[in-house]
Amino acid sequence: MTPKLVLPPNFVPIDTGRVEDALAARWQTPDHDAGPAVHACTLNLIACVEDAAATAAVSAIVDQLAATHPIRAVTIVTDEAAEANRIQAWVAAGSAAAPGSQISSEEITLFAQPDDTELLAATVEGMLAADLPAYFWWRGGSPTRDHTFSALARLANKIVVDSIRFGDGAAALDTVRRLLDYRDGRAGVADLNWVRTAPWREAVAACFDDPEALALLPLFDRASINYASGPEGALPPSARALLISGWLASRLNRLRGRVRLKPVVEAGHGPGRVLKVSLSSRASPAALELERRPAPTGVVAVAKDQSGRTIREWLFPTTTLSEAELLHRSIDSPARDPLLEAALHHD
Amino acid sequence: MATAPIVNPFREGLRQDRATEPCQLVIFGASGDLTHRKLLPAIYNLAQAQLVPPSFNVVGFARQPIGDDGFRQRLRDGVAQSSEVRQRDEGTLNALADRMHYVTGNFDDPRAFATLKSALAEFDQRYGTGGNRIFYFATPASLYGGIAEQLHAAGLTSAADGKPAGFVRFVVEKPFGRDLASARALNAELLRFVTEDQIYRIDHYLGKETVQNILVFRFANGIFEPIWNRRYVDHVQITVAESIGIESRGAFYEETGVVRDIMQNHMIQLTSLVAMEPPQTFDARDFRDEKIRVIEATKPLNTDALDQAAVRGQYGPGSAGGAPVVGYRQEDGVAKDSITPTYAAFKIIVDNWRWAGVPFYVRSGKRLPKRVTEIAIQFKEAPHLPFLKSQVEAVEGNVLALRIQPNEGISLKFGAKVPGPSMRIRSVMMEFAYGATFGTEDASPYERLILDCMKGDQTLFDRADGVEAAWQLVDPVLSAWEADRSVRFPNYPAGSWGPAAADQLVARDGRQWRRL
Repeated sequence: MTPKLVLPPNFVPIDTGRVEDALAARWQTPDHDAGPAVHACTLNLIACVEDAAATAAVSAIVDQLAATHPIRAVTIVTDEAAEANRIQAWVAAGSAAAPGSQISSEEITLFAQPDDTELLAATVEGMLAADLPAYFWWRGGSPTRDHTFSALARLANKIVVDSIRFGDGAAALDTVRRLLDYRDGRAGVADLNWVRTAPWREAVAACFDDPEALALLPLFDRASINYASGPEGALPPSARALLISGWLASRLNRLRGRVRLKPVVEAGHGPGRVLKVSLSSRASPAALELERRPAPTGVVAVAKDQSGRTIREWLFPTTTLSEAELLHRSIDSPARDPLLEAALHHD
Repeated sequence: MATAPIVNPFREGLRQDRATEPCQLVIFGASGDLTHRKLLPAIYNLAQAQLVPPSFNVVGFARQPIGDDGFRQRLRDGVAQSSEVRQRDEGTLNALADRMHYVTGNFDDPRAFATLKSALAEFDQRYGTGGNRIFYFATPASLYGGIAEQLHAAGLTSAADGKPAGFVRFVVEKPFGRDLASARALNAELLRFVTEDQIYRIDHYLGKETVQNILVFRFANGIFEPIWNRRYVDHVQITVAESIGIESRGAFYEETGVVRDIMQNHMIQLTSLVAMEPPQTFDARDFRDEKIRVIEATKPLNTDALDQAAVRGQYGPGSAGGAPVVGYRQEDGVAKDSITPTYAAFKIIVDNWRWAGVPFYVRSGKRLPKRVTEIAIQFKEAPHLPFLKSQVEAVEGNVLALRIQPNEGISLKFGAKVPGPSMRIRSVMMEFAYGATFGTEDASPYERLILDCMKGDQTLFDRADGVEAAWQLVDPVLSAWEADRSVRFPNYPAGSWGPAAADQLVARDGRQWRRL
């Protein structure tokens, strides 16, 4: 075993062929410390670690998820240091859940050679809980032409990626767009980067819940999105900015081709971060402007009428979601996400 | 030509598919216990989950002169003390507190309502709430009519300051009257000032996740509905049991009793949800129509032979939680010769095609051995058993139990072969536990219902005809029992499952209560 593979201490090595027996035994042998367990399982999560050194981090995220969802998680680590033609397995001996929680998940870690993709996929397929959706979380870079990705993604009802790891720009979204056609379009796709834009989308929608702001909507015929430029100056639009742009255009057709993406230099923000979203009118000063505010973190929104008079102001508190929380939101449903797909086709 | 209303195109597909509109929430009885213990923590939870609209504020109104600061302190205390608050966040608390105001006044004082009116107009401007108001009556029901009249007289039930009226909604708490006549009078009084679609009658039981899950269980799964009828179901048992006594609410309970407190509302709601036909949609009209049809199809209990269909009880001294406790008549605020029932069991017949001949045995009581709310569908036995009698004697009929609280979940009892060379059959339970399957914490019933009211969704609220139909069912029982003082109380010791007559109620039909 490579020294880079670091697993939590509750993981015990097991013969790959005996994983199912070991998991079944957990439900048949009362754990006197934890009390009687109730076997429940809501989904399969196949988590593919991008690098053996990241195993501990991924394991911690899976643990967080497993603590609130009864899941069967299969974490996959591929590394040249692994034995060829052999899949090594570990199962978590106890529950990741907090003391007192009834949640009890099943966690398996597999270690394999990157070339052993078919063997790996066959092993994973045999380990999935029957009749439950399988989510395939790919934590690596662009999976185009990656054999491990291809072999495992065919097991999935939904593929979960993070386009920020694909370069966070237009090319990254091209990759996500291609995934929509994967398995002949039968697998849904979730992008953690899309979830990152949710506070903006929710804030825009909330502003137009206000009847006075909604009355201005017919006036708006253009939009702009400001995103943080890198320290070295202008940066092509980030995937986040493009996703918001695509979403605006997909929801309001007349904005198609009329969303301007503007890099701005502003200290304290990572490159690509969306800082401001505006809708405006060529014919009047009417506008809706939403701007990121520092502490306390949030989005401030202002609606102005045809005369440029401020008619409404809002503050939407926001929090930065951890990777575990982004993942959590991405596995809400195995179905395709029509909103994301429309945004991808309009960016 | 009329122009089509503009629809918010950005709302579709988001976490909340129906928007909460900007509004002011005005609480009458703002210094009271319900506001402090339930409403303010629920509003805080909604704010914390970013479910309240950004244009939103709360106005408290009550006699006690506590001022804005006092009202805000109640929020802080309520949030600190409530077990229903999921995540305490100082930022959310401060932001909400900043939008909370208080008006001191008597509920019958027109000047106080004039003050309230100008305050609401000012807050409309300040917070952008567009003239939308929710008036929450967290007061005794006897004050509802007077408050509604004052609101109307102050011009708060219609147009706001000459601008087009925003929405006006009344939220009223149970009990809706204390009998059919008073319920009708109360409905008529409120309907003088607002229309039925502006009245939100809260029965917090319908806000419980597990109660709503009855509908999901029945109507989102194809396998249960075909057997949910007289052909397969032998009978239904519904239990709402409490282990506690009346706490310090002796005077209240003397006026109420178990029939008004539980049977007329919660129990009839649960029975309706189990017995109703699938609604065409889950919009308020379709859903409530079907619920009310069940109540209307329920046979009135025969008051000439009431003991054949209804049993009342009152607890005497006994034990609870391993310690001796006093009887009901020894509780503070209770008359020494009280005949207020603390236990009731009914045999209900829903007289329609689906349920003909299937009795619903329902019971509720205080100082029972445990706190449990459960619906059990007892299925008929298999028509023919190809086993020896000795092999199957321990086998009971299949039971599907929906546990509302605690340990929310669903269990199915069925027969299974005991492993071994001989054919022996034993009943086993297959369990689904909410807590083991969904790690998220439930929203409290008040959160759900306040949010629904903000959205203008009346599905989970009672309608006037539903309330009156429920009273129509229990009113003759109440009248008969209140007129008959010959009953010998107490008739069950605290810590037991109720009077012996309740066992006889089901035993007469060759059945027995489930052991819970």
